[in-house]
Amino acid sequence: MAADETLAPLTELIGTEAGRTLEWTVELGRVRLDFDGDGVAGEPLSLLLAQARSVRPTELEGAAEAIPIDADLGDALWLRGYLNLVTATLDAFLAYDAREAWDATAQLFFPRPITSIPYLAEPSEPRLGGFDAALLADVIALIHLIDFPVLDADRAAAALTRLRTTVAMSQASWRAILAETDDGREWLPNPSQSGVVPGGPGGAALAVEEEMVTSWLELMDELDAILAGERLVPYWRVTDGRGVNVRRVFTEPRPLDLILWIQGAAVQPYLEEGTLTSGEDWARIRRAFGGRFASFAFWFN
Amino acid sequence: MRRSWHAARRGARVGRPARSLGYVGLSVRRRDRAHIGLCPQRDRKRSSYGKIVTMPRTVRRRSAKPVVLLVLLLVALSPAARAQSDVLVAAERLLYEGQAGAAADTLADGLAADPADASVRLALGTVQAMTALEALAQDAFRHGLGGGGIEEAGQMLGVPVTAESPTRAGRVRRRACGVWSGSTRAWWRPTRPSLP
Repeated sequence: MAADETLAPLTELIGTEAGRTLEWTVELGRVRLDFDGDGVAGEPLSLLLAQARSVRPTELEGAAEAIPIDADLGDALWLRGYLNLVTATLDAFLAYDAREAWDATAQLFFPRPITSIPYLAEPSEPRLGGFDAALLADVIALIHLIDFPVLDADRAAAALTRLRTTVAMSQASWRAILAETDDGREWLPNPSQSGVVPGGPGGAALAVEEEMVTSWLELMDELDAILAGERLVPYWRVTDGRGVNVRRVFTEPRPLDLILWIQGAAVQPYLEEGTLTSGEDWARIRRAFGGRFASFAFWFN
Repeated sequence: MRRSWHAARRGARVGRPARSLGYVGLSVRRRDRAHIGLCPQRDRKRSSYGKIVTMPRTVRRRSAKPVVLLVLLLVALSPAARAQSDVLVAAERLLYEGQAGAAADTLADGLAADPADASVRLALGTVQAMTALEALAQDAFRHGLGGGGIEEAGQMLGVPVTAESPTRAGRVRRRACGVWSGSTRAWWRPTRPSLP
């Protein structure tokens, strides 16, 4: 991704001086993007964010905050992490050939999909006594067709590398953020700073607690061990102490069959003896976020 | 004559070398200068813990203020500095106007002029990420996302759906979203559901 290549020299450029504030302040909430490609700028991001937070239409104008941010080294590393995560997800998907599933079931996700079987997307009235037979058929077809052959094994390996980079960037960004002593308009604040991301109680900005950061860094260590193949992931039908080596799932990709992954047969080539990741540790890490783990994970990257 | 430890410490503070400006960063108070001035001329030396305890008279006695002001003035007036600042301002304005692509071009030009400018590099990387997101969304819209679809995509994330989709595909997708969000009732709705 071009953005990651642009940002990669930043660490070397500004050194490891934690808390270094760069000279770019952007009011993120005022940024407008042309999401629908009609050549006209859409609503400011703050309004979209407010809509996502279920703000009433009458309150939207008041919710259009500028969200100014003083970018620093921690933010740059955070952004690199996020870019690598997105690219890894796309690489992992594109490593497999999903064209057949797209052609047959894209209408489940898009109203006007461009596929080789256009009549499947034509409107039809519900049949079978009010039950939508087309929907049922499409869902069954989708499950049936998630048996993707490997298209590009190198891309799967690249996805693994990017995932590990994501973890490394997350660790580096939090090291930088924790070392900050200023209290500017922080995208990601440390426990002694105030942030700018809305969503906290009473309309306040989201706050980060020390326990959250500690737990997050533990999680990153655990993830890195899993991606490195040093820690195995338990599988529900395997009770002899073996686990799945996730690293080999990426480095030795095989056809991706959803049913066989659920049933267990597809897991067999990746089973190994070794140290299993602990479910108790994961539960403890999740508890540190007070039931909002998903939201914070989305934010923390 | 030996000077006191406190005087040496004060001298060390004010005489700490600035990385880029050498010793011109001195902001020596008159009292300190007088005190340090008791030292004979000699090269600067450091204590065992790295602090500067002595330094040449030429350095000690030099008033840094005019030099600092001159440097600041030159930096402020230099075309490169103004250009970089203008680049960020121009890019910001373009972002607010919804022209992320033009903002990226402006920043790329600015970075080409000064590849070591970390702020412009960060801005360019951020805007490139935004344009990539924009392109991804535009691809989705070409397949119909937005014809009621964006609301349903939002529903998958827990956002209330307010618009009705005119297409069967939209209705189907809405039902699928309902299934994914845990609402099994969506399977059995004979007509367009009235969503919360």
